[in-house]
Amino acid sequence: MIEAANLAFALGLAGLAGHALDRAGSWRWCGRAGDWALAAAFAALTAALAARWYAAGRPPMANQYESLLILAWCLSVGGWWLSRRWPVRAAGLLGGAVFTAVLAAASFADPTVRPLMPALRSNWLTYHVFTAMAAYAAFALAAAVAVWNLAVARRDSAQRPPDAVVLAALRFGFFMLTVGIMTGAVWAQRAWGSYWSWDPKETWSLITWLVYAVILHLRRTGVLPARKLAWSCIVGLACVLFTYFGVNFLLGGLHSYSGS
Amino acid sequence: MRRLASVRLFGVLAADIAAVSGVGAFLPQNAPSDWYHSAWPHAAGFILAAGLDQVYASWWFAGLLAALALNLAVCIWRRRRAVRWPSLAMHAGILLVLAGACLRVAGGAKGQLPLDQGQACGQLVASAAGGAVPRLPFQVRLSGFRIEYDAPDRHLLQVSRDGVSEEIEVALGRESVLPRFGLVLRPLRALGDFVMSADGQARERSAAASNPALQLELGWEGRSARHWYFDRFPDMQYDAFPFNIVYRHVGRHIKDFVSEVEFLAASGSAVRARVSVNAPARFQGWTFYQSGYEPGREDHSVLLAVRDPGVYLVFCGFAAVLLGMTAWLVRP
Ligand code: HEM
Repeated sequence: MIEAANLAFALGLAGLAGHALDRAGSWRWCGRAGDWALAAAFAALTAALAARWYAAGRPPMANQYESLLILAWCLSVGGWWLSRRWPVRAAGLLGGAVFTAVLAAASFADPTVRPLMPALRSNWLTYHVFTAMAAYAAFALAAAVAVWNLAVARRDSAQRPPDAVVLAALRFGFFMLTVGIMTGAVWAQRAWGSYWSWDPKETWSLITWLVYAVILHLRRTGVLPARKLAWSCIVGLACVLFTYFGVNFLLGGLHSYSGS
Repeated sequence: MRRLASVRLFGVLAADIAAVSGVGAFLPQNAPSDWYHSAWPHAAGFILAAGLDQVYASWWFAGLLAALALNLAVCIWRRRRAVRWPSLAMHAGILLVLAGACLRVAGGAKGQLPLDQGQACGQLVASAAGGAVPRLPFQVRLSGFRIEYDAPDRHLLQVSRDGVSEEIEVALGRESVLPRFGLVLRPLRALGDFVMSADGQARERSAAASNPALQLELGWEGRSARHWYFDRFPDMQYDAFPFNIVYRHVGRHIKDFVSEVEFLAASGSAVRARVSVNAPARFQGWTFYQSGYEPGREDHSVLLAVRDPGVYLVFCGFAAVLLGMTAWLVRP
């Protein structure tokens, strides 16, 4: 199980290296090999998740380690989508970078398979965690593209992805975040008798949600040109990161057990 | 009107709500006022006067949410003909959620209901969240409470003497014979969280497997004895006994807490129900959640009773938002 996740990490690194060489030396074959490595990383990660699911007898979404694996899995699907929508050969580089960063973060989390405490034994856990991770993956990719826009494409506009790509990622992320918050609320109503308790994780997810809502509205009313949109994506991702990691380490609350 | 319906106002309100919520997440809420004085001697006066210790219950936070609702309502109304239905559905859905939350504040109630087996009770006590604690218009009787575990406990013993050892699994009440050692073992009692009470009785301290212990009846060379063995303390051996026994406990993870209850209506009728974690029971507008237990007592349970007249409105709002957003995602 852990071995398959480690293999995915190694393949991700190889894919990242392949794409980096492709860009640095225009060795196209390295980029192509990198694509294969990333596809293999996706397969290895899928196998790792399946094995974990089988071993634990429940979907692997119950703690920080498992949610990071799910996040990486969503990122590889998202990275593949990005490479289709944006033919410039940076998608593999960006997707591979975020993918390996997330798996690297997972290596700091505790991988032990543990039985769930009673409150977590619910199908809502699966819907809630999966949608939240899908949202985070979309926001992470949007922010990666934003960094690219600000750092690289500033000098060479041929390298710039169309804004539509960023907006599509933001829209998908916002939709998934909305579903994630709502499934969490319905579940909280069933488990604790309250759909909203202003627990720090809830509060921060609301803040994140409002930030992205404002970004989408400002964009819609034409107030956010490409550069400002890029900075907004980075601010949004900062909120996501705080909701995902910061709250667990700094603020605690009802969700804090999921970090143990 | 134009300003009230503007997206710019939404930006301002959303930023304010986010900022205030953020303060509430960093600053511990609902603590006693002394606590603020000792933690922030200089700022405590301001914190308490501004209501920052109870941000989410403050009138000005409610005001911000009300302003957002007004902004949304006016915006929807003005653009009702100009925009497609998905946009209307998701914006109206958010209004429904806010309206449902209002109903909860206005007409909701909650409280804890500690029950002893056989006892009927209708008086709630304040839960941590505070608020009014009314009497239920009916009574609730606890017929039984139990803790369910994933797998039965397994008890493994490693028996050794003079460098020879053997591992066996034993079961409560069943005799195990180890011919090689001429030893007969019979487990008498197992406790997940062993503690010795004041009168010298071994008993369970909690439902967790914090200190697993097994009491064995030992028979060897025509002698017999009883002794407790501890998973966490393998060195606690029985001196007059020529064998070394190491006990290992496997399993016992709590799966569920289950209360069997009866709702006794004022009319005299009784309805049976089961309340467990993630599976509440409803009766006459109240919902009952499994909320607590007392370690070692299987004749006591704590339920949480909640009345929330707005919850369905909130969930209808969710449905409208999801419906609208799905259509918006498919065709932006
Ligand atoms: C938390 C509350 C809100 C949420 C979650 C929300 C969500 C959304 C979403 C997802 C869109 C689509 C954006 C896009 O196409 O990229 C949208 C559009 C829009 N929103 Fe909101 N909104 C909220 C509050 C408001 C408020 C308060 C106003 C009014 C001031 C408003 C006015 C608009 C308008 C005018 C559009 C464009 C509608 C269209 O052409 O279909 N929204 N909103």
